Amino acid sequence: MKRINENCEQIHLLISAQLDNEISSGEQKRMEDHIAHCAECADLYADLHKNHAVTQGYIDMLRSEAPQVSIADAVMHRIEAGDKPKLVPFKKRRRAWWISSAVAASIILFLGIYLFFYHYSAYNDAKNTCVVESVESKRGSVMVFKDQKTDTTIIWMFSSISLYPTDGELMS
Amino acid sequence: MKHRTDITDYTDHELVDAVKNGDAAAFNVIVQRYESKVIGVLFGMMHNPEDARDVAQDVFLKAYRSIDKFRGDSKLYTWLYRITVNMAIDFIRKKQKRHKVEYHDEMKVKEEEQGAVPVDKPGPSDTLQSRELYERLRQIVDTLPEEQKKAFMLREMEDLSYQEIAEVMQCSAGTVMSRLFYARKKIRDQLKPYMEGNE
Repeated sequence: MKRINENCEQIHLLISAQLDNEISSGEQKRMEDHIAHCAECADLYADLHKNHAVTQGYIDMLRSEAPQVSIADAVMHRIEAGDKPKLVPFKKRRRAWWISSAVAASIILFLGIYLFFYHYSAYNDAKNTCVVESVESKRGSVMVFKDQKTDTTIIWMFSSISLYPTDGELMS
Repeated sequence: MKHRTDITDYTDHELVDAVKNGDAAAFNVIVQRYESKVIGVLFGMMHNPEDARDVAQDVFLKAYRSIDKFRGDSKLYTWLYRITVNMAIDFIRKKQKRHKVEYHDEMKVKEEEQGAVPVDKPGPSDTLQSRELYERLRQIVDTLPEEQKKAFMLREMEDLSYQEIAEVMQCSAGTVMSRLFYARKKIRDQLKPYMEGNE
């Protein structure tokens, strides 16, 4: 008879814990009473017990194959030599990655701020300068700038005619 | 108080105090006392004797370098097991990352040469059958989620109680119980077709 209710999940935990002798006699009785009426939990109980025996065989094999050597001398030698563990813990590697990323981000941010203010100040400088006169003709144009900040006048001349025309005559 | 001159008679906490006071010989005793357990857990998780020995050395080096952090409110061996299982997981991650491509290529060639491990055909003898079954189990345990694998190995390999595993893994005994159940359930689900095929 299959009967699944909310207790099944708790019974599953008890079945596993029973393999490890980690349940009380009260829990043992509760588990047995449940299994007597729940086919699914009874199946799980049978399977986990069967697998537990296989696991014990596997663990015995691992124990018998584990290297039986002493590393004490090697460890003490490395301690005396001031050696450090070769294996960098994953968390530390992850931390190192975050630190380098943070440094890189800070440099980019600093450069960004610097460039922004550099251009901003250039923009402000330019803003203080205004064109007071502009004359344009076929031969070129002349612009007169007045820098209000430094009270200086800049005259900017453009020639639209080449000083070296094709006929070779130099313009005066 | 009983006077002891032999450092090997010291309790774990006495040894730790001695190491903290600069007595390196006391640490040697700690290594000798726990090396087989540490190597056993590492071998159970990594399956390679050389790797287990190398990482075991790193475990003890790390323990030595951070012995000041060991406050003594937990048992020395649970602290050592914590370092051990964490370093084993780190090593496995690192190795898997490094050999992911090579491993798959190697396995493909091996399977082509020798044929894959038969899942539904029993071997010619009980020993071989058991070997295949254990190999299958090893593959399943290797693919368990890290926390389940740690709990499983500490329980099965080292016979630690739920409370001790909880100390190692810095979680509650209830969480240990749950991790062990899910590990066993996964083993059951994945081993079932193989077991049924061999019945």
